[in-house]
Amino acid sequence: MNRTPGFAVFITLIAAAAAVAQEGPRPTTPGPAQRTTGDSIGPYNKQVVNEAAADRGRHFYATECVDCHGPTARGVDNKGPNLVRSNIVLHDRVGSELGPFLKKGHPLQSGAIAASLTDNQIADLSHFLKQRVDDALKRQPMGDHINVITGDVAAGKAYFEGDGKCAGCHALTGTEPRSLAGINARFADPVDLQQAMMFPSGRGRGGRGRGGPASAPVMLTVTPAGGQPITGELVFLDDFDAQLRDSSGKLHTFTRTPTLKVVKTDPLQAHHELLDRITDKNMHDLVVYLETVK
Amino acid sequence: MQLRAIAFAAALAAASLYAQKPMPTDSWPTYNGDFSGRRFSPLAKINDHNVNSLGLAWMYRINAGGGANNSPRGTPLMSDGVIYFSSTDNAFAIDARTGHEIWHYVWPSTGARHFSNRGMSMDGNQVFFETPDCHLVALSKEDGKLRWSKSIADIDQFYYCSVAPVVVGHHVIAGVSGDDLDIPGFIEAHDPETGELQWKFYTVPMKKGDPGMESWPNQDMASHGGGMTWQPITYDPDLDMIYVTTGNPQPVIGFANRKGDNLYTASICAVHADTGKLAWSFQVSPHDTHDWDSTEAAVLFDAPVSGQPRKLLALAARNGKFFLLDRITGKAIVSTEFVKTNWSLGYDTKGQPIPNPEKVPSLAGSLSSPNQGGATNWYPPTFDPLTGLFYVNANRAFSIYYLYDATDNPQGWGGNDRGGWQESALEALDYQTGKIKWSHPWEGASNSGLLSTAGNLIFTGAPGSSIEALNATTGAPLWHSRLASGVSTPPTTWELDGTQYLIVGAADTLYAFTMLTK
Amino acid sequence: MNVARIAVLCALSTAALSAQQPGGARLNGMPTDSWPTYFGDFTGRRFSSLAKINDANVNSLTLAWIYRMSAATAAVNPPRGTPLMSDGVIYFSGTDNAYAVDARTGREIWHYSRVSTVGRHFSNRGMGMDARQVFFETPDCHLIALNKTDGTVRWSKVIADIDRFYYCSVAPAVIGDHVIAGVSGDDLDNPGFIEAHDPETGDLQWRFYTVPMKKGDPGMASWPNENMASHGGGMTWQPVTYDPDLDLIYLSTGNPQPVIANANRPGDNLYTCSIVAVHADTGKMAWAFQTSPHDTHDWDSTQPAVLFDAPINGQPRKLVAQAARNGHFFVLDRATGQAIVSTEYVKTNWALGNNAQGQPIPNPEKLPSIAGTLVSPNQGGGVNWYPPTFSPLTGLFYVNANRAYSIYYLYDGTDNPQGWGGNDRSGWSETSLEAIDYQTGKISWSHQWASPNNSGLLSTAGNLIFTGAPGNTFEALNATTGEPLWRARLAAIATVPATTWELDGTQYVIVGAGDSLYAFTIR
Repeated sequence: MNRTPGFAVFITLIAAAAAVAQEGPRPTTPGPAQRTTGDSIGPYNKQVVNEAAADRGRHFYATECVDCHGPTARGVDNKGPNLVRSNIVLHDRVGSELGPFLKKGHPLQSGAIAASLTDNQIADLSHFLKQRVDDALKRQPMGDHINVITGDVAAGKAYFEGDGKCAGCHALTGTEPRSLAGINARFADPVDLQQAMMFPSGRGRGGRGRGGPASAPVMLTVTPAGGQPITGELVFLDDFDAQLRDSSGKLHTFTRTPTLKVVKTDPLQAHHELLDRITDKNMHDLVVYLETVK
Repeated sequence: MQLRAIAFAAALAAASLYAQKPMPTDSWPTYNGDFSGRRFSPLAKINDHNVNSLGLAWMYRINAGGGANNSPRGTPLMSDGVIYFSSTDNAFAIDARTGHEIWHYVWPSTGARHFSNRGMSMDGNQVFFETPDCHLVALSKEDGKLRWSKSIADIDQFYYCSVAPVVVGHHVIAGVSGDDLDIPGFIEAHDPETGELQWKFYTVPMKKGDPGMESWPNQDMASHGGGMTWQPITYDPDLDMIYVTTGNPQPVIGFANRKGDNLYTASICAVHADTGKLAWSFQVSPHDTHDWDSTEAAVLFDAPVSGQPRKLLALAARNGKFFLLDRITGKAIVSTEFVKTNWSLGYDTKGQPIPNPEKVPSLAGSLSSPNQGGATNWYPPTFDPLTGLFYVNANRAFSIYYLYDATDNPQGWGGNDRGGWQESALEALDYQTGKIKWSHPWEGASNSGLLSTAGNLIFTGAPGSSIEALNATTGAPLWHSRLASGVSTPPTTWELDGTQYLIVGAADTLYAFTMLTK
Repeated sequence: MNVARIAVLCALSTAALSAQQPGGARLNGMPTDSWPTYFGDFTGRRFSSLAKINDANVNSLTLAWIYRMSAATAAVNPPRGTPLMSDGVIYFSGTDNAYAVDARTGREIWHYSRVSTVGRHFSNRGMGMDARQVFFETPDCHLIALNKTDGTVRWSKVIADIDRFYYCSVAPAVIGDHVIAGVSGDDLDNPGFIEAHDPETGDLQWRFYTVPMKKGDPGMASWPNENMASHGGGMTWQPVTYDPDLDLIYLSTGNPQPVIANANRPGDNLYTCSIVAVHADTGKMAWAFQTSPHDTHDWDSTQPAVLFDAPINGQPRKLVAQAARNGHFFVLDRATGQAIVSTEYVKTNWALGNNAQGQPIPNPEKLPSIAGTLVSPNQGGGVNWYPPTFSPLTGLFYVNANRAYSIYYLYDGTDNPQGWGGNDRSGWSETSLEAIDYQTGKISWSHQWASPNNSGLLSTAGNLIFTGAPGNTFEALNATTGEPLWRARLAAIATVPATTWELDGTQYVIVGAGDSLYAFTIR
């Protein structure tokens, strides 16, 4: 069990948490990627946090509870337990459990008598505590911002030009499609630059969804027996059929047979192979380096 | 083909190699068809010679109504010509020959995450399933009427329930889900007639003195340590042993407050069926920090290792590792990877992986392979005793794990992964070595359960909304049908009136295929 | 398929072909690599010469793919129109929606959707196509042309006034340089018609009214006055068939208006409930044959007018056959309109034999009445819009036929009823798939269904009849004997008639049920 950050940090953390949009947690493993219908966590009669009441509850908590239960209500070693894990708090609905529990007698920092707490004070406290539970439930970064700017620019440049083998495909000036000119302005948030750099084909599940569409489509070349090859963007491919769209936009469908030749070419293959070589340090260095590329 | 079935029967009779009883062919009485989890059917009327003539017999369209998940994922059960299956809050009985509905039961829900429902169990006259709001429900097979229901977990603590129960002897074994808050995982055994609780096995130490407590910093972290029991258990009737696989520790990604191996999260636990006491455990992901539940099927089979007959347990795990254990002792025989991973530094003396401390989640992001979805997931693998191969739909996947809560007392998740790239394949592993005998790549992911049969076939869902049959020996694709949506329930098979059926579910529809030609 | 059957196929085809010269091949040969019109070709026989799927191997039919429409569009109406196919792409329509689906994989290529302001969303019965476009009608009576490649609109023309309670559901037919469109709507008293439009621009070329509109028009004598005639109904629900040698369009027309109440329209009410032959270039009538003179039971004669060349009494003849709503089966000479066969295909109780022209004489005692009149067939009819099939190999005309009773009530007993003025109510019916000998009208075999079956038919040279069947089943029967050979139970009733074609040497059979299209094949 853990420690007590300072009061200033407490205010910052609480403010930050409150500032975050109350977004529902996403489904996670094990299980299918898509959300199910009617998906909501917890019981149907879950308490909806009243923000104004939680604010009042925060002031009450700061005055009466924080020394023992910690700034995020997650407890303090040898003092007060983690309230986010408390069955009383979890079963509570706007004071239904908290009220009777506190009124039986509970230490308050100011020395006030718990039995004299009003119903409004208890309700406010309940909303504040439920807000702390919600903080634990949500799966967002603190402050809703992932900070990926931790690398070394020079090391990133060296990797880009050296072991990363990036410079061979990506110029830093010019307008050809793979040029990275102006890359530092292309993404509002550096974490999106990191994601696009690592996963340019936009596939993959991850915790926050699939990323964007592929930046360069996979191509298919199909050669019927004794015929001419036909090339185009891969539309669909499995063991039995192949579909491509040629440069004029026409859709071609082929039923696969032993004599039908199908060749797939992925222009982003080098990025996929990079995943086995690149270290996290390389990744962070590259991001800060690319953030300097105008 | 008949010859193959005869050959198999002969081998079965003669060899001590395949001493296990084959699964029934006229029913599918439990989640995996039988207790072993092999999902191997001895039926061969549909086989690699005639599978191209597999015809559509019937379709059943589910209409469970709003709020319920109309897309069941649980393997349907069958007995006496009636198919039973469930979705969230709903249970159905349909005629196995015609697909006509016989009854439909709806549970009035009080909430909780309607994530999924993974199936049912049955005894002579009842079927059992879990509801999202954590009730274990028993219905009469004949008319779907409620016989009893018992609350098995507190949804105020953000448990929810999706697991298929398993009836073992006189016990209905039920597992739980829920990793939104930090709560302990467990399985319970209930009396099939009355629903009364018989015993409860926690997957984490709950009080001082409980085994495994030393692998947690203190009792509070241990008793809130996770280890959900998402996967239906497998069972060895001779040893009277239940094999439980457990989920990730809590907090999930934020890990600063749970130093230690965090037993028995992300583990295989052997539990005595009569008492619920732990016999042995093997940890698949010590001190997991990537949400790699080890809740994949613990597949039991008897087969030779280095020429000696052994009682084995195989697991292809979320974290990309394949393990072959002696299921009597829990000792590892094989510890290897079935997809290339980047998060571990070899194996310890027990054969358990050693996590690389450089690959824990970080604020700026750590590139991980596999990703959170994992090298494989809940959907079942299969072991075919005729080929000696362990088949699994595998993903080679990368993503970046971000730590969100860098304080020293994270709660709940405290982080997540994001983005990614993957390629998928159906892999056939040699069980004795874990090496890949053949690998059939998919264009896109196939998160589908598998079925193997004595007809030398593997049935699987495939990308492009197909149900596909492959040659079990070579991996050559043989047949497919493109359904109205992607396959979502593992395929099953049985025989009625001398005709073999293949059943598969895709979204809100159950399909039955059969061989009409002789 | 056995040698004897091949020999018969060759013999019949050759005989038919030689009787057809010049250009007869166009009439006889439905293409095998496409399905370019509502009926597959212009004849309406719905007979395919493909025999790779046949009575010996149909048990090996496997499900190739399913295409499922989005729930939102299917909820309005499940499609009923036969899908078309050309160059490996399937085109089909629903109310206000059109789709292109890859024929090999069942994957969607494009989906066009619009909103009809008003108009009864009764159904949509299909599309027409030329080389670059597909055409279909919308409930609010637009005739729309879409680009085959991407489903974008090329032109759109209003073809009827929905304020007058017309609505549009009919599959257009593309005949030469004409897109022929029909109309529906019997809620108010309106005249029926077909129009021909230019395929490139959509401009109106001609319009043919099915009832006399002004003094001097043919058939006016069969109405009491001009007002009743020009509001006399005769909707054109069924897509036309066409003989390219005679350059004649064969149109079938709906019931007269007012529908049930009939006091203000004594007379035969031409050309309602008729088969009408119309010159394709001018839109002028060549001949007409009324299957239900002075109809009072809502027995639209809007069933397909099926064209085939076959011998009568040993002489090769150009024929047109219809199993009509009223329970009667007719075979006419399609050049002259003269009746050759005029019989019942289900037992009925409303006619007193046939007149000299071979038309049934309605029994005045079986008119609807205030207190109710027991009539067979019922309003749904001995058969309805769903297509029959004629197999030149068996010489049989197949139809899913209802033997049905109901009671017809007259609501409006005044002498100037409007709209319906009555209706039928409840009843009893049984359905059978009947195989009718075209030379005599006699039933060669009959396969009874356990419950009503309103399904269209397909016959093939594999000696098979494909039909929907009760219990959401899709079934194949032996075309010669009627023995059921194969079935698959789908997720809904088969509402779209089966079609078949060959791609890459593989034969597919396609059927639609509810919100899905299904493709079956032999691998």
